[in-house]
Amino acid sequence: MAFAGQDIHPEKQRVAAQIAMTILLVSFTMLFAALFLGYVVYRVQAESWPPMGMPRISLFYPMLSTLCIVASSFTYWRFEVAFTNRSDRKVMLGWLWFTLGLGVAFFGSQWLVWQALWSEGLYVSAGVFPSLLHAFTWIHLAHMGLGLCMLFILAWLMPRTQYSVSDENKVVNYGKFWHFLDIVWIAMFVVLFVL
Amino acid sequence: MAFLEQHIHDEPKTFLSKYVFTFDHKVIGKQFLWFGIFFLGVGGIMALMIRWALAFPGQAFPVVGQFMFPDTGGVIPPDVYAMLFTMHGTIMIFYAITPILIGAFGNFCIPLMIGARDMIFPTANMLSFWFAFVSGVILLASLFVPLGAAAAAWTAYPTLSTLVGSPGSGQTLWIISLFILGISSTMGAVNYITTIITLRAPGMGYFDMPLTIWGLWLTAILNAIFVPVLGAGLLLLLFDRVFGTHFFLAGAAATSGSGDPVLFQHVFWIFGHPEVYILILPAWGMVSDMLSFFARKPAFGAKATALSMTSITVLSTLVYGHHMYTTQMSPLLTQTFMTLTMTISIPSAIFFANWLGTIWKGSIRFDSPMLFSLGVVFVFGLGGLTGLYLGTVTTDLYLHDTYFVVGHFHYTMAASVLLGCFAATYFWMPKMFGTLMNEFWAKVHFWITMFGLNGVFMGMMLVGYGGMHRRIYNPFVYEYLERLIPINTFITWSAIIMGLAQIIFVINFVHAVFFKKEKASANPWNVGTLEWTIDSPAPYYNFKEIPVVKCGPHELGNPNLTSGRDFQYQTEELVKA
Ligand SMILES: [Cu+2]
Repeated sequence: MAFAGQDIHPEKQRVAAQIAMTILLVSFTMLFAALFLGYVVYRVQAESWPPMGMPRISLFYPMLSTLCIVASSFTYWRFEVAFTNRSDRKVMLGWLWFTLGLGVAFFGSQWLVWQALWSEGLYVSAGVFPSLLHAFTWIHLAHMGLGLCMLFILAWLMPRTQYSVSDENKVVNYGKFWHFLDIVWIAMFVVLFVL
Repeated sequence: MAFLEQHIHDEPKTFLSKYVFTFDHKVIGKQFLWFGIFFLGVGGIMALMIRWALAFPGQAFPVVGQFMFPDTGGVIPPDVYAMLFTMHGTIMIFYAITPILIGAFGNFCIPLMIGARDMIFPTANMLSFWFAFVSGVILLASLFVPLGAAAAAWTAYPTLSTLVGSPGSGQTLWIISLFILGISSTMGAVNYITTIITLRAPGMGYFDMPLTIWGLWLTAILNAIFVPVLGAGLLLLLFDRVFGTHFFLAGAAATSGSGDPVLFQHVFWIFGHPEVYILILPAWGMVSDMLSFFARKPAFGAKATALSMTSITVLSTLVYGHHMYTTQMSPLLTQTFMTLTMTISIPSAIFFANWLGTIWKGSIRFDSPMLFSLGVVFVFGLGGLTGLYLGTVTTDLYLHDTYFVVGHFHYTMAASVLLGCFAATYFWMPKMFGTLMNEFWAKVHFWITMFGLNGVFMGMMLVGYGGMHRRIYNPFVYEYLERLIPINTFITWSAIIMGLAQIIFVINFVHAVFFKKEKASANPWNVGTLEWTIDSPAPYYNFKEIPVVKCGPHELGNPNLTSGRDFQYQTEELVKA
């Protein structure tokens, strides 16, 4: 986001960006919290889970997704460290592109998860259980798309960065969003596929 | 806290950068104002059509009826009636009141009243308006799709709102447009909260902020927290309609496993109750300020008012269940929700008493903003008191879904918020457009509106108490309601008169904006908050020098003042004996 008064009071700009990002993350948390509330209601009301006649899917592909996204959080962290230390630009960009790659791989792994669901007959319209699996992954993935856009913005900015405050704000706050999506996925993984 | 001085950006020169894709919070505020007034008109016409159907069942709608409903000879058909009350509610809440109070006055007042040059994220601010605009276009488009617009009421309860109850794309477009509007609101809310925290002028503590800003700030906080909850519900509903998920289908409609229609009600009201406060808090804040400004006295217990508004904000998150007493909730739960709901009366009573304390022994000036503010005090008092009967389980079981509910929430959400909108428009008119509206016609507008709306909403409570249910096409097919036709006719005539009175407002407004030659002075109301220290209309950079705040916003009638004024600006040291 562009500030009015770009180049003055870098410290205050940092604070403002942090406040805004915190509020935004609260908003996103409420969105996902409402979804999880729905999940709890369905789960508590059901006599058995998964409901009668519905198989669980193998944990393999969801695990793969988890691996991709956790690794991408790690590589983003490395990228951020490289940015703050102003290390070698090649290394920094390497971590960034690594993160991007893992993000794209996450999309692929989600496709595999859906394929696995369909092969078990768990189509979207087959009942509440598959509805939950699909809707949650869709909504999360849509946010991942937003996250990827942010990474592409960084990939475009970073080769020429002067380490300005506005660039730094982007790196820090896009990172928060990316890690947030990681945490949401882990919660979804545990709740939807493991429990 | 952090104070950030913004640059004076270059003056926008082209029409596009000045009026269309503008970063200037004042122009964005005006865009929201026009947007809201337009939808106020649309929603108002829908209200009149609803009233026509209830007062004169089976009679052709005058003038345009023949043209709009040729199949029925001009009579409003039942399905259209359902669309009308659905779209009336949706438009008034999300596309008229929200844009005017929060979008227009939020944008316009926040930077000016806290001494900033703009919002902290001007781009997000611009996007926020254009998202709202796109959303409005989609909503209007949904009126013209085959099978018509959404017709499941503004609450969109499943299974009415699923494909079972509403086939056709109207309801789907309704969901999409509301979701986009939610994105717009959330973006605005993040901007408002951050702006108020970081951009307050040096010296301005939180309790030096005008109460208007308090109201807008608390509203933004509620928006940021609860609009996403509605977003989640809307997404699931959308998936049910478009992709065939089973979240809200139950019984025979669900092939295997079973969804839960009542879950949507929970999600909706977790958002919906705070939404009531989202709408009313800015109006409360403005009224608290204006009562002080026009009684020429400091606001009585301003700190307590701010704190009680804050505690209402907190409490409002815990009471949503009072909308759902009739969903076979456990009595333990209904008792809990009832008790929590009643708790809200305590902070409400505190600031209501503060309002009365503010005007007590004041030298009141009955200018138009003051008249409308006093109107808010009156109608909000009535609306709040009738809420007690709906928050109490025993009485609510009888009154639920009757016109008593409709009357109640129109008093709180429509009447008081609408009067608040008018008060704000008359009050900030000189700062927005550089001219004052005609006082005489403003007063005529006030009195007709006031009698009209009390006729309408008081009448609604009467027929509701008599047992008339809401959302029924022709209630008078039930014998016991036939005797309520005369009161309904009275309500409709009140509504028509009130509707006509708004023409006075529109003419007055348009005249003042475009045709009035006589410019307003910098401070026509003689008040001391920061926006009145600069020219009218406010220049594009707001403040040449960022002001330094030295006293509170309500320093009026101080006997120690020697300047010949009875008020002092917030930039002046508090005068002591
Ligand atoms: Cu409520």
